[in-house]
Amino acid sequence: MGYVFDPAAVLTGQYLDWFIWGVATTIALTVAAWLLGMTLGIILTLVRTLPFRPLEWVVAGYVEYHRNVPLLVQILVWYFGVPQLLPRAIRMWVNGHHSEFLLAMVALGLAKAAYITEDLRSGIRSIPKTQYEAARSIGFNYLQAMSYVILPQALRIVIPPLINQTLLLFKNTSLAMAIGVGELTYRTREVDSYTFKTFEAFAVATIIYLSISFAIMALGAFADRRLKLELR
Amino acid sequence: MIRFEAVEKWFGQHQVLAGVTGEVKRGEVVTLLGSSGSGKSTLIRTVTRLEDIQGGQVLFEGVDVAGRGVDINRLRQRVGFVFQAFNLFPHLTVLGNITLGLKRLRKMPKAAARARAMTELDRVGLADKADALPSRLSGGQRQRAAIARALAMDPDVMLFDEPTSALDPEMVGEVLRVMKSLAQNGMTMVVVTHEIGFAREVADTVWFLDKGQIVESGPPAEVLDDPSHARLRSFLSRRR
Ligand SMILES: Nc1ncnc2c1ncn2[C@@H]1O[C@H](COP(=O)(O)OP(=O)(O)OP(=O)(O)O)[C@@H](O)[C@H]1O
Ligand SMILES: [Mg+2]
Repeated sequence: MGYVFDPAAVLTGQYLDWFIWGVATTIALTVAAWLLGMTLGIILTLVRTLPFRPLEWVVAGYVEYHRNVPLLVQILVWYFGVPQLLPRAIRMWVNGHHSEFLLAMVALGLAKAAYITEDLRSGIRSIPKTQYEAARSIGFNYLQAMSYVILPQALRIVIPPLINQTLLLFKNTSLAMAIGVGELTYRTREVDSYTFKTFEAFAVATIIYLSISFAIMALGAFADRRLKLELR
Repeated sequence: MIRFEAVEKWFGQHQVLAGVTGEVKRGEVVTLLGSSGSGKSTLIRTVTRLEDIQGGQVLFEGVDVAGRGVDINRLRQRVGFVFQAFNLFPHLTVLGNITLGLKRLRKMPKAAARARAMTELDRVGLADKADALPSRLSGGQRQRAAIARALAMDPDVMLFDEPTSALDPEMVGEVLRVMKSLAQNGMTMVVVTHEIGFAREVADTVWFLDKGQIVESGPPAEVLDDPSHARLRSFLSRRR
């Protein structure tokens, strides 16, 4: 008997539930890590642009670590290494509260922040110094000038690279399966090993990944159109 | 209101201000003339410490602007600065440019900030452009919006650094008219400009800056019509 491609076989009953949970977890992990990465990326950018050189070196070290150590290793360090350093009470609490999701989110978010601060810094460099001067002349202090005038412009300038970063983050959430996070790839493996429908299971996963990626790109293009700076 | 006392400014080995002394009184309009590189921009930028100085003092209302107890951000709220290149914030509408300082520094509620901004826009004749982005305005309109932004903070003095030099000739008039009406309403102003006509008509006092020093100062009629300094004579002859 020949092979029959039968995706319906992996999209029924508990297998469908597993896929749904997988997608939900993947999206939740993407969103949580994205928010962490953006927030931290902005903070790092503010810190490194302060007129105090040693801060710049600290951030540079941070960036180099996260860009040059494989992301999987970073995730494993957070999962196996970091909890050992925590006080017992906190460790117990973390372990009782889906530590794998939390730690994967932290690892992915911190790594993302390194890329985001690099993008933001080059965005800031492309804004004329006179914008900063005009903000200070109104009476804003450094932090206010950055928050209300410089960063809002820099963020608009870096929307295209940010879309790329978001896509990479979304795909990289699959690495979290290595520490047992029940995201889409992990669940796909599970469906595969219960049904032996390997091709069907991964075909479904592939289509889901592609659809969400396209949705992110469309959303990003929309944001870029709406928010792009009109300079001339 | 503003006193320069033997102000010296160096960029590295290059001395740009070589002992400038002069006073701007409340309600007075001072225009600052001088050829390119004579230090005009640098001098007015010392008032809000956009440039720090190496010698002498700049006093605002009798207080050294570089003094220890001075909150420079407070002081800057009281001194409006208008730039040659407008420097509007491109991500905000005209209205947003004006309300930003009112909301964030003056802590005005949104509606009050908006009302205040509209008053200023009315004054410069731009009420109908409130919701436009700066990129949609002409040069003259941008500069008037920038003036409205500075005025909204209710400054005690307005500093202008060549406000019409970046404009097409046909737009110079609309900006000068706004500045003239400001002067007539009693605003204290220091205006760096090459518009001799404006100096003659509006200024109470003209300063001629040469090589980092005020080499001639006085009422426009005296300084412009009977210049004693050779460099001022040639400066003026080039601008007839
Ligand atoms: N940031 C700076 N670093 C080094 N030199 C500077 C700087 N800013 C100004 N200068 C120099 O200081 C001198 C005076 O500059 P300033 O801009 O005050 O002249 P200005 O009278 O305003 O001239 P312009 O009419 O061209 O605007 C010039 O020789 C200029 O090259
Ligand atoms: Mg100048």
